[in-house]
Amino acid sequence: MSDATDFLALSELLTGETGLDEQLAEAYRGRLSDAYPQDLPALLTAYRAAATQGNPLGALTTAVNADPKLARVTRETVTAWYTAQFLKPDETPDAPATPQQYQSGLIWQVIKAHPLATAPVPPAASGYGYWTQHP
Amino acid sequence: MNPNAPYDVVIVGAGVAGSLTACRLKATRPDARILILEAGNNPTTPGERAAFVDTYQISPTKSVPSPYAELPNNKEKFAPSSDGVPDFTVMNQYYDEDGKLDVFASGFQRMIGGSTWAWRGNTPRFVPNDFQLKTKYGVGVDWPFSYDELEPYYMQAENELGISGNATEWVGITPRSGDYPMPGMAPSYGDELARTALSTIKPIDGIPVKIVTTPQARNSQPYRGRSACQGNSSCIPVCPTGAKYDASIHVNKARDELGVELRTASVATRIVPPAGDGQPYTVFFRDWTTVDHAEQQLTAKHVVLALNAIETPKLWLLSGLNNSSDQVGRNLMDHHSAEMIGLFGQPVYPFRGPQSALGVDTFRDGDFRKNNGAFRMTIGNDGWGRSGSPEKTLQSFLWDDTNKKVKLLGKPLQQAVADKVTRMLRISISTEQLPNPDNRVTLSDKTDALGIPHPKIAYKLDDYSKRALAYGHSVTRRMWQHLEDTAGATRIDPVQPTLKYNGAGHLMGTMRMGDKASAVVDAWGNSHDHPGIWIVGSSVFPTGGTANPTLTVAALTLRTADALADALATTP
Ligand SMILES: Cc1cc2nc3c(=O)[nH]c(=O)nc-3n(C[C@H](O)[C@H](O)[C@H](O)COP(=O)(O)OP(=O)(O)OC[C@H]3O[C@@H](n4cnc5c(N)ncnc54)[C@H](O)[C@@H]3O)c2cc1C
Ligand code: SF4
Repeated sequence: MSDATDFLALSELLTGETGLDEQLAEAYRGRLSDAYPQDLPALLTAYRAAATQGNPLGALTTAVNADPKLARVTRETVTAWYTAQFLKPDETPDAPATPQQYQSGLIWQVIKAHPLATAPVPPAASGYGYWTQHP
Repeated sequence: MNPNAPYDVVIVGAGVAGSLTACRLKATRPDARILILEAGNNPTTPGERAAFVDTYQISPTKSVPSPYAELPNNKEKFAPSSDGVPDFTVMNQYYDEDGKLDVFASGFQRMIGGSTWAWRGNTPRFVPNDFQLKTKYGVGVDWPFSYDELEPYYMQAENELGISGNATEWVGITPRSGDYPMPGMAPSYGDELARTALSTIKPIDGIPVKIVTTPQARNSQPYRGRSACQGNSSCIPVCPTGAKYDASIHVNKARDELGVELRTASVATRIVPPAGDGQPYTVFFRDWTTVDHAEQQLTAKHVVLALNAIETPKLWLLSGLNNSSDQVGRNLMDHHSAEMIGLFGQPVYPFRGPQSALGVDTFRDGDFRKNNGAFRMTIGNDGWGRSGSPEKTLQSFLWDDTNKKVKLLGKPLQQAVADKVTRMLRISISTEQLPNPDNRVTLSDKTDALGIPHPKIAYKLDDYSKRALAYGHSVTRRMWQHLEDTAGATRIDPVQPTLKYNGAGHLMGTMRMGDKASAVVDAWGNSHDHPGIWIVGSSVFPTGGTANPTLTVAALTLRTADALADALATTP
C-alpha cells in the first residue's frame, strides 16, 4: 500500500472518524513529513504492523508510547486533524495552510459548534438566532 | 475654493470618535471644509473584510490583532498598533513599560475604523452615579455634567451605532427616554440554561443578581443596510458579516455620502498653534507611502484629536502644546477583567452565536463604592474564554506531557473533549479603577519606523481597584456556589481571589475634562489652553465607571461635534 492510503487509514484510526478527506490527508501528510521527516515514516511503519493485530488502536498506542519520538508525531498527527495546526519539533506552531484547512478542523464538529468566523450555512441550522436552539 | 486655504476642521484619527465627529459636523455644517487625517490605509470594502477573516483563520495564535497584523502600518512599523498582550516577555512590542510596576494590559488597533474592528461591541451606558463619584462616595472626581445632560446624546449614539437592547430590563439601572433601535440580541441555548439556574439565587450582600441582556452594537435585525448577526462567534477580533458595528461605517459615510476628505497613511507628528490672532493651526504629518516619508503640513481653523487615550496625549506631548493643568497623559485608566470558570452540570454548547449576550449590571453601583470599585459581569458564550481553549482541552486528554506519551485516541478522545468543552462556562468581571495622576503616558526613547516615539507607560493598581477585583471574585464565587448547589456545576476556578487581571481594551482618562485648574479640556471637549483644539474619545473621561466606554465615547463625541459646529458658525 502507498504512504498516502496508509496515512489516511492511520488518521482514521487515530481520530476515530471514517471518510476523512483524501486531499486534506495529503496536505497534512506533506506538512507533517516536512516537520518530522524521520518520525512520520516510522509512524507509518508502526501503523502497518499494528493494523494486522486484533486491536489495531491498542497495538498502535502501545507501540508509539514505547518511543517518545513516535508518541510525539502521533500527537501532532491527531492535533493536525482536530485543529489544522500542530507543533513542530522546536515547539513553534505550523499554522493552517489555508482557511479551508482551519474550517475542516474536527474539533468543531466534536463540540457541536462551528469554526470561529465561519457561521453554519444551510442545510444546517443557520442565520440569526440559530444559537438559541440545541445543536 | 483656494486649495491652500485652511480647512475649517482637521480631524486626526478615523476611529469611531473621529468619523462620528466628521459625520455630525458635516451634517450640521454642510459648507464646512473638513479633512480626516488617518494613520492607517486599509480598504473598508467587503473584500478586505473577507481577507481579514482569512488572515485570522490561518494565524497560528488567533490573537486579537491577528487579522490586522499584516497591514503595512503594523508590519513595517510605520504606525504600529499595540497588541494588548499582558505579558512582558512576549509584549508589548509597542508600549514602553519597564516591568517594575503593574502592567497596562490593553491595546488598540491603528487602522481606518480603529479599534472597533476588534472590539466586542458591548454597549451599556454609564450609570448616573458614575458622573458624581466624588459627591456620592467621596472618591475620584465628578464629571462636569450629569447623566441627564448626556441622556439625549446616548439616545442618538445608540441610533448611530445601531444598538440592540431590551429597554425594559434596564429600568432602575440606566434611565432612558426612549427605546433601543433594535430588540436585544437573542441569548444562546446555554445562556438560557445559565439564566434559569441563576434565577433562583438570593440577593448577594443585599444586591439582586439580576441578569439582563447586554446592549450590543450588533444587529439583531437588518439595520441601515447591514445584515442581522449570523452568529460567526468571532466578534473579537473580526466580524465576517459586518453585523457588528465598526467605524468603517461612519468613515465610508463621511467620505462617500457627505463629502468629507479622507487622507490615509498619514501619521500626525505635531500640531503647532497659530502664530497670531486669526491665524490657523498647522498640522504636521508623515505619509508613509511616500519615498522619503518627509514631513508635510496643512492648516486648519479647528483641530479635533481623535487618536485614542494613548496616542492623543502622546501627540500633545510631542507637539509641546501647553499643559497648564499638568494633567496631559495622566490618570490613565482601564477596566480590569478577570474570569471565573467552571463546568456546568449539562452541556451549554459554547462557541455558537455572539461571544456574550447576558450580564449582571446590579453591582455597578452601591454604597460599597466608598470602599472598593464597582464591577460589571458577563456571562460568556465562548467556553472558558481566555482561560482555556478547546485546543488546550484536546491536548489535556491527548497528551501526557510529563511522560511524553499519548493518552486517549479515537472515539474516547472525541467523547472526552466533547463532554468537557460543551459544559464550559465563564462568568467574567470587569472592574472600576480610580484616576491616579501617577498612572501616565509619556514619551519613550524607542521610536517607530517614522522616528516617532513610542508611548512610555507608568501604571499601578491602587487598593481601591484591587479590592474591586477581590469583591468581584467574592460575588462571582457565590454565584458559582449556587450553580454547584442547584445545577451540578463542578471544577470552579479560581476558588481564591488572585488579583490577576486582563485588560479590557478600555483605554481612558489621559486628557480629562473639567475645570481649567485640574483638567485638560472643558465639558465640551474644548482645550482650556488652545481654544481651536478639541478632543473626542475616552481620553476625556474624568472617571472610568464600569461600562464599556465606546457608547459613552460616541455620545460625548456628538455633544462635542455640536459645540464645535456652533463655534464654526462664529469662526471667521
Ligand atoms: C479587544 C477589544 C475589545 C473591546 N471591546 C469593547 C466593547 O465590548 N465595548 C466597548 O465599548 N469598547 C470596547 N473596546 C474599546 C473600543 O474599541 C474603543 O473604545 C474604541 O474603539 C475607541 O475609539 P476611538 O475612535 O476613540 O479610538 P481608536 O479606535 O483607537 O481610533 C483612533 C484612530 O486614530 C488613528 N491614529 C492613531 N494615531 C494616529 C496618528 N498619529 N495620526 C493619524 N491617525 C492616528 C488610528 O489609526 C485610529 O483610526 C474594546 C477594545 C479592544 C481592543
Ligand atoms: S456573532 Fe458573528 S456575525 Fe454576529 S456580530 Fe459577532 S462576529 Fe458578527
